[in-house]
Amino acid sequence: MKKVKLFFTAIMVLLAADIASAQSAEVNGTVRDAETGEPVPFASVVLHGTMTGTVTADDGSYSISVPSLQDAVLEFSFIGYRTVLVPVEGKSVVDCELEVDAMALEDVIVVAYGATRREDVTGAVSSVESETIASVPVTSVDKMLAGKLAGVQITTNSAQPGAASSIRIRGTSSINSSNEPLWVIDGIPVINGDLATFDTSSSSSFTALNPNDIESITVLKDAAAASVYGSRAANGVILVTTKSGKAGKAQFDARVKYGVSWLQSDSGFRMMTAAELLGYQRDAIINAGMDPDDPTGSYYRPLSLLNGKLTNWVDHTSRLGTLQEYEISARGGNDRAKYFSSVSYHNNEGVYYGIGYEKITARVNADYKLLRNLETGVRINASYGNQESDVPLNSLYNASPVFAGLTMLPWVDPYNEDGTHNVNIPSNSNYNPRATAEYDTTTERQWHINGSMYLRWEPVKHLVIESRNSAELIYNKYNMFSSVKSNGNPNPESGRQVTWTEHLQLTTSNTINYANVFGGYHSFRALVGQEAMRYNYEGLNALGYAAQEEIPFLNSSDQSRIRAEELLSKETLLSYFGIVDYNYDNRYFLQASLRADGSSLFGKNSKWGMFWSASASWNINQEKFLRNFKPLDLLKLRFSYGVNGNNGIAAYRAYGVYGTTTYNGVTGMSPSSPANDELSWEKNATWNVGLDFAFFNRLRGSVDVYNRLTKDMLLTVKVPWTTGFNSNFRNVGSMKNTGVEVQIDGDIIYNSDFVWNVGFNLAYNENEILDLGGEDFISGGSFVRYAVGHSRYSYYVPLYYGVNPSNGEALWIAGKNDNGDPILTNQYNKAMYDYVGSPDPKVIGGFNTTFSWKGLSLSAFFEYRTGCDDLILNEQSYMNSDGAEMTLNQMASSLNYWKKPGDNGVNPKPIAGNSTNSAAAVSSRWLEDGSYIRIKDVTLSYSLPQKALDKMRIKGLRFYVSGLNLYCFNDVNWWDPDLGPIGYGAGTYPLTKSFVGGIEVSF
Amino acid sequence: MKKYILYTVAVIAAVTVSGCKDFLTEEPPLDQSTEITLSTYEGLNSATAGAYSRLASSGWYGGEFILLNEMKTSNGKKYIGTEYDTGRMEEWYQLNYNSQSTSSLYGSAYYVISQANNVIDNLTEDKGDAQDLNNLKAECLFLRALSYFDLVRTYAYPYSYAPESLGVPIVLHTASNDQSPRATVAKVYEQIVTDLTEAERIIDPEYRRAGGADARAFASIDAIRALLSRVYLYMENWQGAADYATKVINSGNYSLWTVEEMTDGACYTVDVPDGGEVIFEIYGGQTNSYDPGLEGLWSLTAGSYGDAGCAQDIRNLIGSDTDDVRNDLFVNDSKGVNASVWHTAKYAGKGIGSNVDYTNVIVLRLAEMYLNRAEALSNGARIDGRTADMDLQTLAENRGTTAPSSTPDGIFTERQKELNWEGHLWFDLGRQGRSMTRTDVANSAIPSEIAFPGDLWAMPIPESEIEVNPNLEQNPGF
Repeated sequence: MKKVKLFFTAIMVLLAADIASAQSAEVNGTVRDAETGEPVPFASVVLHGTMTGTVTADDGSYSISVPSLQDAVLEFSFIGYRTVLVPVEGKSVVDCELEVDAMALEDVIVVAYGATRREDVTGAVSSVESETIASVPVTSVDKMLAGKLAGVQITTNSAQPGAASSIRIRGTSSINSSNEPLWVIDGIPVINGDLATFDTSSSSSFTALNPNDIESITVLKDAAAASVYGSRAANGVILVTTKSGKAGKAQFDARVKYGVSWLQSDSGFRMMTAAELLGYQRDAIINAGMDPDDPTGSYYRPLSLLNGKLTNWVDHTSRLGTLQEYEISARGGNDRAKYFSSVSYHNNEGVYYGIGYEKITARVNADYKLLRNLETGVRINASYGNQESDVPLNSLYNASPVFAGLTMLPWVDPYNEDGTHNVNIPSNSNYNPRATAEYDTTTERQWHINGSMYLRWEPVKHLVIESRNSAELIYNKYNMFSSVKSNGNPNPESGRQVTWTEHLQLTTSNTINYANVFGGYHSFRALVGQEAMRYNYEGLNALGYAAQEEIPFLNSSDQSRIRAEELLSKETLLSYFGIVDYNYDNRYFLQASLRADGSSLFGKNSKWGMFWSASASWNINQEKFLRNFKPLDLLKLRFSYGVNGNNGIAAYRAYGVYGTTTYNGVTGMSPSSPANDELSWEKNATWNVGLDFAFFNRLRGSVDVYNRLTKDMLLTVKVPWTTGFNSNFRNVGSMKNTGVEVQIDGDIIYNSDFVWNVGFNLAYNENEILDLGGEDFISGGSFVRYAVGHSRYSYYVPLYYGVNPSNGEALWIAGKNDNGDPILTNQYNKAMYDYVGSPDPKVIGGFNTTFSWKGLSLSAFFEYRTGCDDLILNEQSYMNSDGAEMTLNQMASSLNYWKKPGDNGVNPKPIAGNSTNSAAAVSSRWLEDGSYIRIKDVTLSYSLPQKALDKMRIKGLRFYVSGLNLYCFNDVNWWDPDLGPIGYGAGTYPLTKSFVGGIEVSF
Repeated sequence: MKKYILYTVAVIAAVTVSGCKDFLTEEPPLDQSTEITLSTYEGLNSATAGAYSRLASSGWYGGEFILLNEMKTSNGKKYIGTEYDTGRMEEWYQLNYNSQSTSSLYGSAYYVISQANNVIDNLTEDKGDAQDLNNLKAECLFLRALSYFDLVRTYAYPYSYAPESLGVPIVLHTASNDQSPRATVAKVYEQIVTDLTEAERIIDPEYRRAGGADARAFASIDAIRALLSRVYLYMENWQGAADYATKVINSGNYSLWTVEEMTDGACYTVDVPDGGEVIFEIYGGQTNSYDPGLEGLWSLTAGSYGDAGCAQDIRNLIGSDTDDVRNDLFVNDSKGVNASVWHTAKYAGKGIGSNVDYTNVIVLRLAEMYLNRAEALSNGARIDGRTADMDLQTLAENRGTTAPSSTPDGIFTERQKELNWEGHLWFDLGRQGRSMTRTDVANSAIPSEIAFPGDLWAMPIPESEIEVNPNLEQNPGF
């Protein structure tokens, strides 16, 4: 109470003083480093709330004239130090000590159409700086974000070299539209999504980036942050800024790294050895009432099989993968021109024979000051990627090393007597993955060229007119040849497929920005802009058979069976937008944005969508009553609400289309899809409440609570036949994501020699479908259902109960009796279906810690998730088959099977040729808890001290060695629990372990 | 300087705003948009040709529409438990259909109606020669009338029984937000008559769509008139039925099949008819987009599955006169395993397929015109120089049998003998208020009598349609 009184008194005094004083006065002083006591030159000293200010001299001294000695407040700041506000309080000498800002609270971060101080942000934003990016030796941008940012989930669809990840920011918002965030690279939204011909999702623009070219990445999570990209911001926005040149002497950075990778399961998953499999199969044969030693029986499995040549096919089809990367970059410039350029080469040989990836990137970023107020620059990135796999992966294919490598029988000889690969293997449909690796070709090559140019003109002070224009070209070429040499079937035929696709996206983005500070305390910014995008897709797909081995092209294929099709699609987007920012005294911040987007994807009556947001924040620590409360560095409350759009659907869905139809020998036209003139944007309304805090110059964190409501979901719904069709694509339905995010970083020890910091983030998200346009559910396939009241991804499968202890049969739950007890059945087709789980994790996050002592640094980073399930249904139904698959090797876990009455909690009794469906794929039997904690990377690095460097006349030298994905604590009976957003795979390249070492030199 | 800025802004604004409308329009390049299809004569002509396509589907004349109506009557029998029983046709034969297992005609018919509506709505003068446009319009009006006629016969009570009861929704301009309620039976018939009389008025009497394998599988003035004759007969507009039957008979374009032509059912296995009775039929062929394949008439009668068997009732009816050539139109035990099994021979195939054969499905033929006129004349219609007995006699002479008396029962029986397995009997029973009785049923659980009136005489509207159209009222009893 006393304090409050004092506070009011102070205000009264200040007010009185303000009226009284009109004459100006001089204030002098010195600015010093708080720790060393050294003077700080070039520090800025500003009369708080005005534009009046000066800069300290070499000895740290300054002199400034203030209107009143009584109420003036001076603001001292310098890069790398925390800004300090000091009331003059009548003194004429005011010295100031600046503390090193360990937390970099006043970082400038890139936000939509501009940059802002972190302190000023009103929305939910996370960012990563270049140091963090560069320190992780990964190969693409998406990989290094995993677990780093609260609420940003990075999952691996396929760990095949060169494949991209799936990114979900704050859960999944859509059923038919896109769930991937918008990527904006250097101010230009780029092409995103899987553009590859085969299921490897490697062509998104971000895969063409060299991670070391990146200066910063900002993730815009809530509506306020993202809505100025309204159109496509429903799933969040990832802003990537690449490095620019710096004025000064040219600096070269060279990097070399080399690594190895290998297959390893940390959950105990493995296949059976020959002896185990033979024992298992013999039991299964006996259980089927047959004799394994009968050469004329259906299954002849004599013990002598073990005396022949035995092969561990996992070892035979896999190898130690290698990774090498070489890179050099240069940056420099003067006060007029600046440049940054880099080239890199990356080569990754996969852990399976025949699988590899090669990438070359080159970048030039240049900026030039044409006039005092006119600046221009370019950002050009070119890349080439070649993904080689010999067979199309992601299928349960006999020639795929990923699948067949597991399932091939150990007593099958991999080689012929002459040393060539054996392809006479009836148990594997006469394929041998090693023969395929040698003779077949499947390559997916991509060329990305992304160039943008900007012109920035400041015709009058405070007003900036900027135009950014870009062209992005992605050319994708898929070549496949399957040779007769790798196919041991009678009368084999070669196959040839060639597919090329070309994506061209042109974007222009033009803005006018006005920013000024009025009356000292009122800072104001207004931005209006216009953006237009045109996307053009073309392609050709051609297939042929029976090409000659020596001329493996369509030219020598059977000409009568060549099939070809053209692919064409176009899309346009036109947008107008505005943002208004206002802040009062760095205490109260308001921001509003409005954006109108027109998309060619929608119906002629509803192309335009209006998106908006409003947000506010309050820097409580800037209030006078807290300003001098030393331990508190930041306390900020944020609130935002806004609506974003999603147009991630295929082109032309709004159009009614006629296709051809034939009757009575006449080809006519008939309607093939209905018009929907009202088809429009899917909308995402999000509110977010956040609190940012920092204490003791040591600890910083934030907490966000949000609710994302997807409305007008794009769904295929039933309509009356009197419309001419019984279904149409409409805007109906809604879905919700609710969650909490926490991010905390802290320095436990921080001094000039020794630093120990830790970071932690956690995101909880809950997804629920609220409405499906009147339907209770929409089928998402044979075991996935989108159902009202459930998570977007929900497994809906027959309920497996377990084994019958008395006879070893599999039991299913057929229903529940009045008491709620399960009614059991031994028949799979009588089992009841139910919702059993979801691959969508409730909790995701990561934690990290770094110890540095002088130049030596040890860092470890962990990633975790929980509250989700995996359904390893495809592989388990083949490899845990209870005897149904007698020509495939089985998982070691199958050995735990029913042997005698009383055995419980085990696999059912194996029966050779089992036809009971006990191992049917679609079943809750394969559901497993997908939780894990992963040691994502551990890096030990050493940077040479300055003295040594000076002797060697270089600027920097760093050595490091990293272990990536070293261990994953989990219980999933598979290579790795991360199977993408869907939680299951089919012959998917698993995550591997690797060690990488490297050297970085700057000179 | 300020002027400069204003100027720049004005230019940018002008360029973007003016280009905006076209900029956001991207037509599908690999398909033809509805708008473009319907914007030229060629497109409208193709869209009209395409409107026939679905008539051949398994859900309509390709199979179900004929089969379900025959299996509900004494013409049909499902040989339960034999090689000819694949589980198909059960609900129809047992007459225990519900709103989930009802006729699937609804979707097919409204699809064709939407095709016809789209063309009719876009036939504007500027698109071509007036007569060419009228011919397209007449074809579409005919297809629309046929669709409504089949719909109202299937899902509503007979006009002669309850003209003010629920018919089907009348949609003349198809829109993506349509939720039309059901019109009365009388209104639907009124629309059918309006369409057919308009079609008759505007079509070139010589017009037949060019390019088809089978010219009689497209609309013509005779087809329009023949359908009108039947529609009037159903409406008990006796004079109308007689007048239009006469117009077709007197056109001289058709002649009754002779005993010779009908021997061994030869006239039913012709690929492309030349002369003879066929006025309008559905052409069956491998290249049809809606080829019903094994779910079609050929397969479900004698050709393959054979679920739609033939009852002794109809065989005995014709068999009472062994000289009647129509005894040839039944085939015994096509799989050679069960001598008690009989099928109609009207869809025996044209011998042009191996695994699946193809068959034409006759919708309108000359014998029906004689029978329509005989019935109309016996009910008081007048045609100079013609009596019902004369028409019955003409038909009997061509069937190698004696004419029945021109009583209601005599004419009714003659219709059954002549038109069995062509989808008439169930509707003839209903419009005359007769109950369905049969004696040769597979087992005692199969109903051998369906009294008229009753709920089963109007099939339920599909449940899926009731769910999405709040204005649709279901038929009583379903």
